[in-house]
Amino acid sequence: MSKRLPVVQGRDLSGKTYWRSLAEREGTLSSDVLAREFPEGAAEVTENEAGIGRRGFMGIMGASMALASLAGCRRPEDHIVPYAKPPEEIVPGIPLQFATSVQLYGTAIGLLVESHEGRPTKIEGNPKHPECPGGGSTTFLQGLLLDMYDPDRSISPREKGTVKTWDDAAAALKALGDKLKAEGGKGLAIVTDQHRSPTLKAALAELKVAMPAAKFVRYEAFDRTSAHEGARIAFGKPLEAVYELGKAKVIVAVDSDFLMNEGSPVKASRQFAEARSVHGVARVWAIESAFTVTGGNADHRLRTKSANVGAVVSAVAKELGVTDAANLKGTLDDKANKFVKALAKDLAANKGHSVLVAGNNQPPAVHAAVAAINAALENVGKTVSYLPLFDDAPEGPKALVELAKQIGSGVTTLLILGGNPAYDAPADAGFAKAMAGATTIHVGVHYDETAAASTWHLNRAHFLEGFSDLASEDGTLSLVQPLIAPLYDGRTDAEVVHLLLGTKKRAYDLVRETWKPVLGEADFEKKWRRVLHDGVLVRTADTTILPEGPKVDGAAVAKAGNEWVAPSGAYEITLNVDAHAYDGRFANNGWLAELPDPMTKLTWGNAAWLSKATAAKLGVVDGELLNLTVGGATVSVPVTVAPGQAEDSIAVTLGLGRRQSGRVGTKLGWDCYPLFSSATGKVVAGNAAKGGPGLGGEHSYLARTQEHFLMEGRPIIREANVATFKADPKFAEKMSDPHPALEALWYPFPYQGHKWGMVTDLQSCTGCNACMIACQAENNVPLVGIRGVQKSREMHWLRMDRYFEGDQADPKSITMPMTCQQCENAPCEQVCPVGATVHSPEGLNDMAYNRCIGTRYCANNCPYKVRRFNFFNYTKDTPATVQMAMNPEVSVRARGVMEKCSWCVQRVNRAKIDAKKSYPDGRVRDGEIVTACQQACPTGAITFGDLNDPKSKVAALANDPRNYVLLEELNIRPRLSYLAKVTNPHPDLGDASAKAVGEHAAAGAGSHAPAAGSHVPSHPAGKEEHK
Amino acid sequence: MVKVIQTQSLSMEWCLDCHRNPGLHVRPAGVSVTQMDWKPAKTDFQPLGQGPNDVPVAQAPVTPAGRKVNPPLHCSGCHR
Repeated sequence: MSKRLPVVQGRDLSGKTYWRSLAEREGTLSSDVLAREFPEGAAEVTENEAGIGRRGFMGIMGASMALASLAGCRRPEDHIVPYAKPPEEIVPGIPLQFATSVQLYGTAIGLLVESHEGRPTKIEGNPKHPECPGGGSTTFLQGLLLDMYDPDRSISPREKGTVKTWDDAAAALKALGDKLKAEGGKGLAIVTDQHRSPTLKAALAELKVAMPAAKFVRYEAFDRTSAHEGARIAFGKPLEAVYELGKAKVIVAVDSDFLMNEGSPVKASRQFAEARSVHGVARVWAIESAFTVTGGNADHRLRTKSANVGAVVSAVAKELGVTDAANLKGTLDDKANKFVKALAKDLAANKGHSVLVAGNNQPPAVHAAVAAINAALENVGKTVSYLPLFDDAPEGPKALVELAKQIGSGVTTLLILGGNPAYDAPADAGFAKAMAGATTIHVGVHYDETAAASTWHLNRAHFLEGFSDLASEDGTLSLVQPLIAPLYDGRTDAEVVHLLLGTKKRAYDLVRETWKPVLGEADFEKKWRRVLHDGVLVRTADTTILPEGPKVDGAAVAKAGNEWVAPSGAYEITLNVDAHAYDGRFANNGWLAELPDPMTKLTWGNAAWLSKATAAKLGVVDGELLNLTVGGATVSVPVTVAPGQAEDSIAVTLGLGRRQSGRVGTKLGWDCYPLFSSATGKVVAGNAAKGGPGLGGEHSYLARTQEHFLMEGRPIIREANVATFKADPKFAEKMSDPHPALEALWYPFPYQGHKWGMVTDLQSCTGCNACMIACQAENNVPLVGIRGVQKSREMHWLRMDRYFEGDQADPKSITMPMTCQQCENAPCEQVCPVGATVHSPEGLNDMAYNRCIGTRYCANNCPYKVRRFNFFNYTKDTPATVQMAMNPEVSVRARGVMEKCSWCVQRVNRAKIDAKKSYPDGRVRDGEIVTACQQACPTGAITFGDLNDPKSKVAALANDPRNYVLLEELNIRPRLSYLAKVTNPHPDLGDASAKAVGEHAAAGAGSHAPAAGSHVPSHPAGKEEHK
Repeated sequence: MVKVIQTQSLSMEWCLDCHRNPGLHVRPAGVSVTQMDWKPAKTDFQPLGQGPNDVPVAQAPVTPAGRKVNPPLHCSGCHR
């Protein structure tokens, strides 16, 4: 029996074509896929599939350390231990929040961590910290929590693999340290990650005094070395570029993903949203090869090889008259020339209000050229500042290779503080092999590749377990305070350095010593407690920033440009940050493994991103293996055809394919580090050739979440350019067929108390996915594994729908977060046979897990497909430490139960309880309830609150002219509404004129089936204007 | 030998009996907390009024501090 294809009542009248995947765009989706809501096999639980799925899954999640030894007994034996002598301030059931901070992306970001009964359960951003305005976070910041509870963490020191105690290790360190001191530090080299801790810096300085011949190298696979070197060329000394995007009117991303993986993403996202506010939509330009989140948010994106980006920058410089930056060579086609002219025009018109951000993958010559352009455009001191570096030790891949060459001769003792150079060092360092030539001490959180090759491995305290301090990119100092005593008696880096020096000092004392001069002796204890409370010591004045900025050495910039040669070869291969593992450090993190990559929506693995034409040229299709060769190294990676990828440019991500990571990370994905060499950097020339037919079994096709949930001609995404918005602010409402007056079968309920509502602003949403993982952390959302994702069974309550629009090879991208819409006339409530899902008197769609019997009729009836079903008992074998990470305020669901976004009802109820106690009228004030997604969103796109409160932010946004609701014609009255996106195309490149939107006739006649030609809007439908 | 007996059903219905009519169960202002043998006057469910859509609602009692006792009746009040 064939299923009818869906009849669309409220059609999208914008004239644009939105598509989720290339198959949909080309119309090659099988009628089977079109007719079915879910992919083949999604609702079935076949014996074999279940067996493989569960076995494989248990292999991933199975615990080797179980709490109870009563295997086979259904009721676990637990002990209730009362607080006879309770710790101060802890009320069981009421969480506390502590301020701390973490180093990532080359800066330090302040965090507020929620702690239940003495264990951290949720990470948020610290709104007091300048790197974290609004208190948002990113995917990696949220995922850091699970890392602490990782069951595969290193639990003790080891000497050549044998488990030892810390006493043994301390004795060995002292002996080694004494020997080194006697020799003045001869042969000692210390490799740290790009740490930003003043305390560790002080400890290392003490080490340098005791052992003057010691060498230091700072290394991370993805760091700002190239940017620092570029600044050195431009300004004579290496400087840190710090951006202030909020006041910019023109933002140019030069192969930079600053909204997601580089710089200071939370700060940049918030400032980006400010700049893009509809009251003055800043124009965003992107020049890049792979389609990044930042490129997806650009008004105009030039798709070009990363090796060619320098040439584009030089062309822009030439147009602007900045001749020093006009020397980088390359070829530009007509499209690029048109782009360059328009961009130059825009920049020239906005002097002092523009900014060019160069990406960390670009070579120093490009950074220098960009610095010169920024200076010429008078942006320095306004949208970009150049600040001193945190540390002047040698850094980057070249320094590490230098050091590796000396191991065995000049370097006989190697101390590796954090990081995993045996895995992520550049291939020409041969670090893993070289390590054998020295006595190596590795301090790390996991027993990873480096630990396995070291003489001594010491288990490190996670940042949530030990005291430290940090300085962010703009110099703000913050404290790192532990949320829990070290689970496995780990030590911090500074403590290990002192063990080597022979002095045994606690991290707490070391940090206080560092902060005494900072805070001053007078009133130190009071000020110390204040900083511990706030988490941050905000900078007041800074005398190191010159008001007019450092001077550009034009000759040096020009020389660098002349000397730079773009890598040339058949194909370009770019090496990028992996959305799941960053540079490999998060490879064992289950949450991040299952979190889709923002653009390809790939989970549980990585792939080579190719454009359709390049894939056709190479004769490969999606899922097939591709052999990439750079220098002497070849790796085999599966192909994903990525819309928006530049021709002949192949993007791969570094960080997966680990050899020794843990139950999630080991052998997951494909290791592309062999392609990374210090000589060539992250943009390399290489060869590509068709590899094998692809791996079988569960990797037979890539696990992507994007193929599901199509738009099918409905006006889901609504956007317009600024002119249209100014002419008709209510354009969004008109983008759907008018419908007759809607009537329901039931009496409307008067929501007299609170009336919860949420508004998501598509203008601000960048598609970074921070909300998805925040929701997972807050609501104990389980992982389903690769098989589950392939069957569209991923459990994320909140999904980020990414739609492409326009040309197949060079589309635009727009993202929309989708959660339960909490409909007033919810279709799911009407069909539940047992009444497990009902409506609360405040408008929430309640889900009572214990009542649910798993008919899945509600998921069937939900038009937004936001309901998630527990096909298996995903949480049955959760390791003991991961159980500690779960939020005790939310039920953990078992098999057979439906779940969905509840708008963090636990937070709503807590706020109501607090309001009953605090206020006489017992009503919650606006802003007291912040859902997890709202809190994590770095741009502030999500707003939640009481629609019945006339002064609330959400009520104002619900009445905003851009406001629209999805699938309005179904009369399900969702409480979640969206604000349409407003773009700002340049008149020379795109259609910047005001357009009439939708039907001209009013809805009075009620006809929603207009005659054939009458509904065509006045502009040509479906064509991409700027081609 | 001392045995343990269950005196209340501890079922959801037992919880809702009070939630639906808290006035019966809230100890009046004059009665001291230390009086262990105070019992509510009536234990049967008694709707005191009609709310919107004919849902029976109890009148919210007021504590000595002046707070209205308004326990949740919807599912997510307890099931989160």
